[in-house]
Amino acid sequence: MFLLPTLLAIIFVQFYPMFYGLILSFTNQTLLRVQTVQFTLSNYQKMFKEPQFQYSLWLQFSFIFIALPLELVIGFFVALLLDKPFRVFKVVRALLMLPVFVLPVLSGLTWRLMLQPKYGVLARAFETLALGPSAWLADTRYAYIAILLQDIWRMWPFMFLLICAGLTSLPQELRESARLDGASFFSETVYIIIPCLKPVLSMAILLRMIDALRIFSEVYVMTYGGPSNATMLLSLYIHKQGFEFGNISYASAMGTVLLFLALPLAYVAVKKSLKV
Amino acid sequence: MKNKILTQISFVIVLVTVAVEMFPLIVIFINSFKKDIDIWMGKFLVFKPTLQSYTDVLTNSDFPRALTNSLIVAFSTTVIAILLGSMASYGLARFQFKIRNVVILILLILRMIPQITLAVPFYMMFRSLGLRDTLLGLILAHTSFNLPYVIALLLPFFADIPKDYEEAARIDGCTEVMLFWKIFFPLASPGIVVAAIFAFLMSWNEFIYALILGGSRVRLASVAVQSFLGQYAPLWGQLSAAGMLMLIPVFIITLGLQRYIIQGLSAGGIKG
Repeated sequence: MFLLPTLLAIIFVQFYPMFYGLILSFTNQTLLRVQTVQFTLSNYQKMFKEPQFQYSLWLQFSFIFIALPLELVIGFFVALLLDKPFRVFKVVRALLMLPVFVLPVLSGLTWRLMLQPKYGVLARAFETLALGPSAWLADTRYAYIAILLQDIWRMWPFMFLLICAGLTSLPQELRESARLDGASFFSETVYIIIPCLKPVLSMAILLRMIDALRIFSEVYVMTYGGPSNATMLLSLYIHKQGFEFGNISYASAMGTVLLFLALPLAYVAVKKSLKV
Repeated sequence: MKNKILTQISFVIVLVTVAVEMFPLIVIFINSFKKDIDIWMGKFLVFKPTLQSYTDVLTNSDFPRALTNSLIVAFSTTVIAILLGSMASYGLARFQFKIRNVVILILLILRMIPQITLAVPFYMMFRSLGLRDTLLGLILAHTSFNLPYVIALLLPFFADIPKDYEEAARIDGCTEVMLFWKIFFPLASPGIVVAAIFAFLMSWNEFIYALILGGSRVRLASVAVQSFLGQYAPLWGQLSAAGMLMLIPVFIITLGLQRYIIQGLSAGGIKG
């Protein structure tokens, strides 16, 4: 009885669209309703032959392989540094919380402004340091680096916050006795902190992996997938195919692939979180 | 002695880190008080502060309407998600039935689907239902990610409420519906506060649905803010001012309710 409204809502806003997307992916539907709808496999055939699709898919996943480890390492070490009872550090922790909650779209816009070659602060700083080209976002390689930097800037504090929370719940006696036994900072970290934080760490990593598959808005405003598709993540490519070129069915096919790649990750994350 | 130096070094590292993290925020803040011409000159700190951008945004653009739309959508989806979600997680936490664990599993998984995969079918669905470019359509779309999130977050809260309360209430003649509203809902209120904050923030920060399912009639603030990029020259001053207006409620919530935030984050909150 208590579940009924939710189940109805979920069916309407989750299952039905998911199913509908799957069906669309096997049709020749376009944004304009002119054709007679036909069943076809051509979307999938086209997709697996198209280099842009493969490249976009790789870009979307590359956040997991490049940005995520960096975020984890930075978050972990800053959390260790702040793991002392100074009152200032409370303020620091609060300040570091802010980037996580900045709207992704606004973060993207700010980075775009900072990297504007003529008057962006960051662009000018890089120019003085002779770091990269003058227009980062117009360079195929540096545009990608800029997007990664933006992501790292915004999301390492997320790792940091979770690890901080994990550290405070660590048994203090364990760490003290290790220190009394003459354990160095290094061995304390490796043998006590990391094993104890394992559940927290794996949860944080999983959550960020799933996030990585959702990245869209910050890149949309920073580069719109450009220059020459160098930053065309799969999510942006789906949007472009669907709403710029009108290939609704092709966009649905790519969406379906992304969905089926995300599901196993989500499944593992959920299984883990139910156990913890 | 060695320890003292180490502490000092770590202080410096922390200070630098905070400075780096705050820098982009400071950039938006400062630019919102600049004239566009000063921004285009590229002198970061040399300018006359002015409120011109704020008055322009609030009087000469459709941004106030977009803010109102965003508020309506965020508020409505939060209320819907909390109402339905708290009932559902109450049911899931208290009643044992065969497929209970499967239902929980599915709900939790649904929370994590990339929005873009649903955005395309939503667009086609809403177009034939006449829900595209309406507030109701956006509220429904936002509920699609908020509802599973709320349920996931509230489940442990409802599960932790001791059975004694229920028995005591029953002896006093409490009905099933009253039991939920009078006893369980208030007892789970710490969780409900967290869930409501995050549901609101996630809707406020959301971009994909706002872009695809919104339009000229109903534009949300997250989409309106990037329209200041303009067709010819980006109006960075107004853009920054609009951005600040959107960030203020976010930062007040974040800093004011710090202790709740970690809970919400570890349940997988936040992402546009």
